[in-house]
Amino acid sequence: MTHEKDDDRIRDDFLELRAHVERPEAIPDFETMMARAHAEVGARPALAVVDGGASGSRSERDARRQLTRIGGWMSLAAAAAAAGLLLVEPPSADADAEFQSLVIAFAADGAAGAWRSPTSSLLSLPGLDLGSVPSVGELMPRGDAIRSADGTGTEGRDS
Amino acid sequence: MNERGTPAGACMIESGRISDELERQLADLHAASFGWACSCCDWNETDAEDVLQNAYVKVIAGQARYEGHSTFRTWFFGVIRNTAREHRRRTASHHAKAERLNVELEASQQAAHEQIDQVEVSERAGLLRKTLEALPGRQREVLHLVFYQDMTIQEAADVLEVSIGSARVHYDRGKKKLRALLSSMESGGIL
Repeated sequence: MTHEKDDDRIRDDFLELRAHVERPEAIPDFETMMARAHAEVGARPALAVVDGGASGSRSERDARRQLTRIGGWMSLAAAAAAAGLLLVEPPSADADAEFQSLVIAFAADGAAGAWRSPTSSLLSLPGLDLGSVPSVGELMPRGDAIRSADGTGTEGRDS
Repeated sequence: MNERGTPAGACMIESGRISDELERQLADLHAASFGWACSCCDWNETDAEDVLQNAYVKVIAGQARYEGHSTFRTWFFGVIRNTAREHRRRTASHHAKAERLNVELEASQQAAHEQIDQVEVSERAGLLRKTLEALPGRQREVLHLVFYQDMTIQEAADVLEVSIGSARVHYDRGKKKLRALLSSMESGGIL
C-alpha cells in the first residue's frame, strides 16, 4: 500500500471519527453555552483601576521603575563581582609571615614572647629609674677616673 | 500564540460584550471546536464541554483577544488548547488537595466514559481513537488538526505554538506510527 493510499485511509478514518464526535445530539448547544458564559462573566465583580496614590505622571513612574530596575541590577552585579574577587584572590601570606617573625623573636629573647599589658607603657615614666637603688657593680667608675678625683694613684698606695 | 495583547483592529470585544460578527464565527466553529476540545481532553466529552465553556468565558471576558495575527480558527483552537491544559492542571491540583474530590471526579469520568461507550462507535473510528491515544501528545495533536480539522501543517504549528519544522516532524513521525499501529492491528485480526 502506498503512502498516498495510507493517507487517504487515515483521512477517511478521521472523517468517520469526526462524524461520530460531532453528531448533533453529542454537541452541546451553542446558544446555551454562550448564555452561560455571558452569565458567568456578568456575575464577576467588576474590576477597575484603583489609584494607589503614586506621585508623578505615568511616564515619571515608568522612569522611576526603570531606574530602580537598573539600580537593582547594578547592585546585583557589584555584589557578584565582590564575591568573585573574594573567591578568586589567593589567601594573604601576611598572617603567616607575622607569626613566623614572632616565633623568631621569641627564640632570640624569651621576654619578647611574654605577655604584656596593653597599658604597660604608661608605667614607663621619664626619670623613674633615678629613684631606684642601683645594684652592686652597676655604674662602677673605672680606676683612672677615681685616681684623678682624689689626687692619689694606686701606685703611691701600693708603694 | 499569546491570548492577550494590545488591542488591535481585529478585536471584537467591548467591555464584556462580543460583537455579532465574533459570535457568528464562534457559532460556525462550534462543532469543530468541540471536536478539538474532545481531542485535548482524551475524548472525555464532559471535560471537553467544560473546556469549551471556559474558552467562551475567556473570549467574552476579554481574557482572550483575537488580534488578527492568524486565522480566527487557529487563534481560537489555541485558546481551547491552553484552556484544556489549565483544566488538566486544576483537575490534578484538586486530586492532590482532596481525596473526596478525587473520588467524585473519577465517578464523573467513569459516567462520561460509560456515556461514550453507550453510543455505538464505528469500528474503524473507535480503533482510530484508541490508536491515537497511544501516540505522544504533540503527534496526536498535529494529526488531529491536519486530518480531522483539515488544517495545513502551518496552521497546526500556529495552534500548537511550535515552528513549522517541528510540526512537520511531529506530523511525519505521528503518521508513520499511526500507520504502523493500524497495520499491526489489521494483521492481528482486530479489523
